Amino acid sequence: MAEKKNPGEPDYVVIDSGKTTIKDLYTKEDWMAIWMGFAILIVGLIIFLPRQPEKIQELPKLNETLKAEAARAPFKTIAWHKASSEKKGIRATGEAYAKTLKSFLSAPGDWQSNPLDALYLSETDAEAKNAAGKEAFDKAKAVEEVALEQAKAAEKAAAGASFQDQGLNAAAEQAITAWLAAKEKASSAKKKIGVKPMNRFPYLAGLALALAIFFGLGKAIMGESFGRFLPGFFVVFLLAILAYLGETQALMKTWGFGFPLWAIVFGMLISNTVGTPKWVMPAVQTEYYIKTGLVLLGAEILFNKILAIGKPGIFVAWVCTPITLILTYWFGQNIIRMPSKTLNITISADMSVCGVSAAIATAAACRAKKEELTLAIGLSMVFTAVCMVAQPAFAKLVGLPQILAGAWMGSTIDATGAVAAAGAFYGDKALYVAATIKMIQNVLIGVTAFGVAVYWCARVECAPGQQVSWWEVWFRFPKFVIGFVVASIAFTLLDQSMGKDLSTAVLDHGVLRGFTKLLREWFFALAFTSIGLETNFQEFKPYLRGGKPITLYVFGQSFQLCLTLLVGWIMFYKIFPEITAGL
Amino acid sequence: MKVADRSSPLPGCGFPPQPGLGPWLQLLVGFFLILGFIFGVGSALRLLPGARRMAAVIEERELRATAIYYTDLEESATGSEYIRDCLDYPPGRR
Repeated sequence: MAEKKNPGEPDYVVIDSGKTTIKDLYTKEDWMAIWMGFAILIVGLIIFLPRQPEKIQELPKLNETLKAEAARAPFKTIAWHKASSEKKGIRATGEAYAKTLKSFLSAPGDWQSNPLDALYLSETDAEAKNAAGKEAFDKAKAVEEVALEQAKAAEKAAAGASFQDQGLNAAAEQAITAWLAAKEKASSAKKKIGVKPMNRFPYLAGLALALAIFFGLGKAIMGESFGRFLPGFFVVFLLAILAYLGETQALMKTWGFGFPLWAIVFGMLISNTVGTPKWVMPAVQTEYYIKTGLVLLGAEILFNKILAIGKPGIFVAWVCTPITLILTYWFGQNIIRMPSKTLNITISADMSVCGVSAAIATAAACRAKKEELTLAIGLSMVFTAVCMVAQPAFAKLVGLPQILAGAWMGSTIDATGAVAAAGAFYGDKALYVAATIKMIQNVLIGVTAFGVAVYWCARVECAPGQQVSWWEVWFRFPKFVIGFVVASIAFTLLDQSMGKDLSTAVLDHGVLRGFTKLLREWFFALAFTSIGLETNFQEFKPYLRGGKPITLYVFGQSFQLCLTLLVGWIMFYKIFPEITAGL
Repeated sequence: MKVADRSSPLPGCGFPPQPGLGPWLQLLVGFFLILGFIFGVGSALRLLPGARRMAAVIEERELRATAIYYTDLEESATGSEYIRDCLDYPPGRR
């Protein structure tokens, strides 16, 4: 809970206390965030684990097909691709109950000129949208059918020569690649004719009430007023909806300006003009929302994912990233002398790991000030928008192969979404590799947050030369990080025990993507709205003097671009070329 | 040791309204500036070299370019599952 502060004091100060009690488990925000996060994760498991997708029994058969086709031909046949594609369709999120849950928890949809389109779509408008996309879909479908026939003929010719004719094999592989590209286009066009009428108002009202009660009860358990929290929460929630509307506007969505930025902007607009009303303030609880969201994020950190692309992926994402992080932090401290260590590490993590999500976790772990987190996120979003366009253009200019370009972009562009956009711009293989490398890098958030929390407690928050015992480190340690790490370990073990296919269908595309991730996004939106509502423009001035944050970012990003390109080339083309050839 | 949270002065209580324009007028001006950014700067960015093509790719594939984590993005799942199948069931090279 916020205490009264004297002007000029920092947001967080370490105070001697020397004791901890059992009561902390239900009166301290860090512990409450853990229990609330765990409660959501358990509810998610209860909903999804017993209700596996109907087609789950088909997985062994599809794997058999993949195995048989892989043994039959020296290239991925049509049947191989169809089986692989069918596996991707077996997901808990595709079940009716999961769709209902999603419609309740989802953020507003897309819009172009009228924000109401994101919240309400009549049957007539939905039909009009579908009709507009029908022609494009029919055309794309026809192209796909022709491409499939050509691919079948080419494969048949290659099979006729018992796959011994290299020329026929190459022609078949080329025809199959062309069919896959046509299939992807038809699939995208199909999404545009599947528009359904919607009315998000009742769902959002229900969600607001549910979250108000959820967080209000947490506050009540901690000994604060439920009644004072409730009215203000609806204002914060309303602004969070506005933030989502900022993100889902067609132009902003394209440039990657997501809800965190808009939540801060709308919040600051209010706090710096008419001021945040006093009665709203009990619900302006940045840390409470962010810590609960981070415990949920912990469950999404599945360590098995680092093996997704084999050894080269681990080297590119897990060697280059820590080197860049440490070097950038060192540069910030020793060369340009950043005004704040917490700002330095937040920007370094945000730039080297994966943008906004890493910034949130690191800032919370080292207790950075809210304006430092805001600054790091702003920098990341601007540079991401630039890199998203510039990096694929550069890769095309110098003719980088798709896999190397994908690995390079995946590891160096901050935001996960922008990585996918840059990869898609370059080609399908680049997209797959870029998105997978970024996923492996995302997992580093857990290690980074934990490492930063320990380092800060044991080294940074001490007097020069002071030796701190492990017991004291424990006192200082941000306890929510324990929940974050425990959630990650528990879900990683669960993921491992379920096996790759079942875990993908039920855990990843059920509990996580179908439930906790949707809530986690809302919690972050509430947190960033709260940051905006309690931030004054004047607070940024000291950080911007001399442009040091920008210098730090540019240095780190330039170093990472060079290092990753070099390591990616060595790993994918010199040390593990057989993995590259198989992709 | 414990860490106490000492938030900034409460806006509305701690931040005095700016002199000159009335606070509500400032709010309105700020709101229109945001709209100007969304529709003005957002559209102008498409004039940058390569940006229009990038926007078309994002729109065509319905990518969520604002995703902050891999679970926010469908392509990370599609990509990693495809790569996993490639590595688990690699076609025999002859």
